[in-house]
Amino acid sequence: MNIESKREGVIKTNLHEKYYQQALYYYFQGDYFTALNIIKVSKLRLGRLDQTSQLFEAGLQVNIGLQEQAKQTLLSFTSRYKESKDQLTNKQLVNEPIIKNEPTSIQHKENANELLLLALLSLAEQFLAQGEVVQAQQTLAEVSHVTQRLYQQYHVLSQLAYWPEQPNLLPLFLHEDLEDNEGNKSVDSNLSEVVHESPYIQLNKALRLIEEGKFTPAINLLTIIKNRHWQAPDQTFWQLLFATDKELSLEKQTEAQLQNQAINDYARLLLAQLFAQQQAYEKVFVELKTFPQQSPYTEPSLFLFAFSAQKSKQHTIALSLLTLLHEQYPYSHLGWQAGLLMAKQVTEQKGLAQGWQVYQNIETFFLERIEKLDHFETSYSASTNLLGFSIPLIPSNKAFRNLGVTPLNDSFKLKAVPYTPESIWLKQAMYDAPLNSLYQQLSALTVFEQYNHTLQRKSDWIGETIKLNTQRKSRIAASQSVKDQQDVYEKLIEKRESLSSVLSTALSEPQQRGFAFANNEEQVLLSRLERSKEYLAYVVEHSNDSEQINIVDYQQRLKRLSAVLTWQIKQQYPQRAWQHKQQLVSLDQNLKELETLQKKISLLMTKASTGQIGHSLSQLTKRQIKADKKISPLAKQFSQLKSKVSLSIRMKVAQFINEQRNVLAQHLLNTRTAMADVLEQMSLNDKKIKNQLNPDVQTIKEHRL
Amino acid sequence: MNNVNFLVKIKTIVFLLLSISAYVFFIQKSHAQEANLEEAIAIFGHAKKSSSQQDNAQKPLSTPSPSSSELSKEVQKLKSQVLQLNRELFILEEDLLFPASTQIAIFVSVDVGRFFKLDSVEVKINEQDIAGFLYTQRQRVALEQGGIQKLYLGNLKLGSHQLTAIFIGLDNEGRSIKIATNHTFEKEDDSLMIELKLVDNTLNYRTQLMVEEWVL
Repeated sequence: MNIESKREGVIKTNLHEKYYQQALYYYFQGDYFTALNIIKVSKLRLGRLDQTSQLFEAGLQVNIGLQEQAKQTLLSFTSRYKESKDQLTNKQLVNEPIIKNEPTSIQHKENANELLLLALLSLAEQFLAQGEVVQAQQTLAEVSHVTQRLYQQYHVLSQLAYWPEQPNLLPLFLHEDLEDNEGNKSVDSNLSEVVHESPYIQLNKALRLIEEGKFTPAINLLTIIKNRHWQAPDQTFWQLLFATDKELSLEKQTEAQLQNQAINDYARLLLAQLFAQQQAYEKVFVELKTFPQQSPYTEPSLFLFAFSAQKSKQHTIALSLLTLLHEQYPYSHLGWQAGLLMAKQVTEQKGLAQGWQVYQNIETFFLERIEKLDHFETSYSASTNLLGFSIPLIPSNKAFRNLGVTPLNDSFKLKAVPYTPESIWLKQAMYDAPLNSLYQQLSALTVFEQYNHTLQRKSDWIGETIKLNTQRKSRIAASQSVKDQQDVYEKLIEKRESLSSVLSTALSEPQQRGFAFANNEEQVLLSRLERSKEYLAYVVEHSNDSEQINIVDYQQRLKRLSAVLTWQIKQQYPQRAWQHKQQLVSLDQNLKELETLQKKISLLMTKASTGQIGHSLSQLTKRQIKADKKISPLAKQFSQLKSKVSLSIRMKVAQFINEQRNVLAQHLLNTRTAMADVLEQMSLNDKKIKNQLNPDVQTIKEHRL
Repeated sequence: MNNVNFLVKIKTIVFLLLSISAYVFFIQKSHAQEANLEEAIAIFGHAKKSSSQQDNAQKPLSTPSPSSSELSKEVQKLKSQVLQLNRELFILEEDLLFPASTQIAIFVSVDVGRFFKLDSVEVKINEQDIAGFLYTQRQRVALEQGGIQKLYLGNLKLGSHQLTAIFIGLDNEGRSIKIATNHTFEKEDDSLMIELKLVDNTLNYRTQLMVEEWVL
């Protein structure tokens, strides 16, 4: 409902909802910063946020990586909700009537309960993401009931929070108004449905069985999971909002298919691992034979498949798979390991000479890797801009440079793009989650730092605009005071009064004074007639009798002309009189408006000069100065924090390089040891052959000794 | 439940990676010692239960993640400060350029958009073009999902004015149609907010254009 209250016949618009919807417009376009900005602006404009907007705010904060703030918002939301719930309970206890349209109906209560549940789950998730397990457990303990829709989320979060212990899960909550027996039955059936339908609950169950060493039930369960087509559950708006890995993709079906495939693949891989542990290599081989090539788990499955092929005496396949793994994953540990195994197998199967050849290739491969790693280390240490190590500038940075700053530019947006390196070593290093997180932080800091520069320009522009406005207002004030001095308004009033009196006179004597309404042409003619009359009067006084006849003739002609003109003017009189009356009314109206405007200007000038107006320029100036003062310290903080993050990144990358070097050195050593063994074996073989070919020589030697 | 998926994905992937790394470690060890792969798998099987590393793998989210570090908190704090500053400047700019006494804002919303696929809009005040907008699919979907677009923010003097809005789009059968309206309104001392609402009419299967002046 748009209407929130009705006072004295005025129905007010629910502005909370309108702001929320404006934020939604940007949220659905993936512009979380603008959406959050609108919600925050609404908080400032309206003084508070309603519950929906507050929950939305928390979701947006999660989306832009402000987990700490999201946690605070959710805490505030839950405490506020509990307060309002307590108030409601007290109200019901004293049997106060519930107003029909008040938001306390059963439907609304259920929605609100679900929102609270969602908030608690999201809060627990935030705590878990930040490693605060105890707080996550405490938050989950506050959950009093779980609806069917959110049960899966609750179940998985509880497992994560209490791992390796078994969490005490709440039963499924249905409607309050269900009968006890009927309700229990429904709860059981619904709970079993939820558990049965959720692939993640099933996977976690299988993991727990493996953890407890119950392999047979684990295998049975994994077999079910891998063969089943899992239907992705419908997600509510709020669940999507708090999801951190969402893509507002229009191809949801494809995404669901991919997820389904990933679940099946993972179950299959776990199953293969279990079989391998039980040394059932035939089963592993069969299990992984049809494993898809395009899967997040292709690499480990390939390795396990090669191993099981080897154990199942499928040597050719094993060799091909190891070669493939070695070639396709030249930077991964499994790829390196596969190289060694491949050389070993060639030696065993195809003889020492070929094995030696392969070992030589593998040795060269490891030496090259070490050399490339050294090169990477040198160039990485020399690079001053860590983000520019592979890519000179992230795409969003370029966009910022060309942005206009005002007025309220819609393109003035903030969007951090995830950093992806081009260097293969750096890519490998960034599989480490903490390092990846540090890089993303550095990327975000760079974007925000540039945004801070943009804010500086914006602030300068606002300052300049305020200055120009102040000058403009001063000019208006000066002009106003001049007008006041010149009594322009009073003069206008006087003029109006004189016009009014002329009109009154004209109206009071319509027969004689109709000439007052004559138009310009008629006025000219009337003037000429007057002049002609005057000339004639002069001529009459100074002429002789002989000229009198002509004069009479002139006078008659003049009289006729005058009569015609008078008749014409009188004909137009009623219409013209009405027009003039209307004009006078209109003039009065204009003068009245002018008077109001003049008073308003005077009032504004007085208020502005005394600083009484909330948004007076002086106050705007103060606000601009206050904001401006914040920008420079922020720039310093950005610089310091970037240095800190860069240092951490360098340390992590150095650690990664050392680890890789050690692993490569170990592999090189193993290769060389194996090569020595091959050489030794070759030498022994040579000797054997030699002895077989020259038995007499050997006998002679022995005799000599 | 993508968020749940995400958590479980992390859990499973980390579990898998650590399993593999343990696996590789033992294979490597076995190779160096000329032990066979069978032994490596067997060792992996036993190690899985005893290794503390593996225990950590089983509860990847219980170990502090980088987001919980002080550095991460500092970054978040700084980001938050910039956003706050942006907000302050945004409001300051709005107060400066569009004071309430002259401010007019025009919004567009769609409810639900089954009979009209919005393509563009033109808005005039007193016969003068003030705003026009061509919608992308994403913007249209955002409106259909309940969003409100602030189409125009400007200044207008006190008094009576006339607003003309023309929406262009496609009907259910893909024909291009226009929906237009004229609305006379009075600009007074307070901010004026006008919402142009495209509302589905289920009685005649057409979309109606309604004008709502927000009461502040």
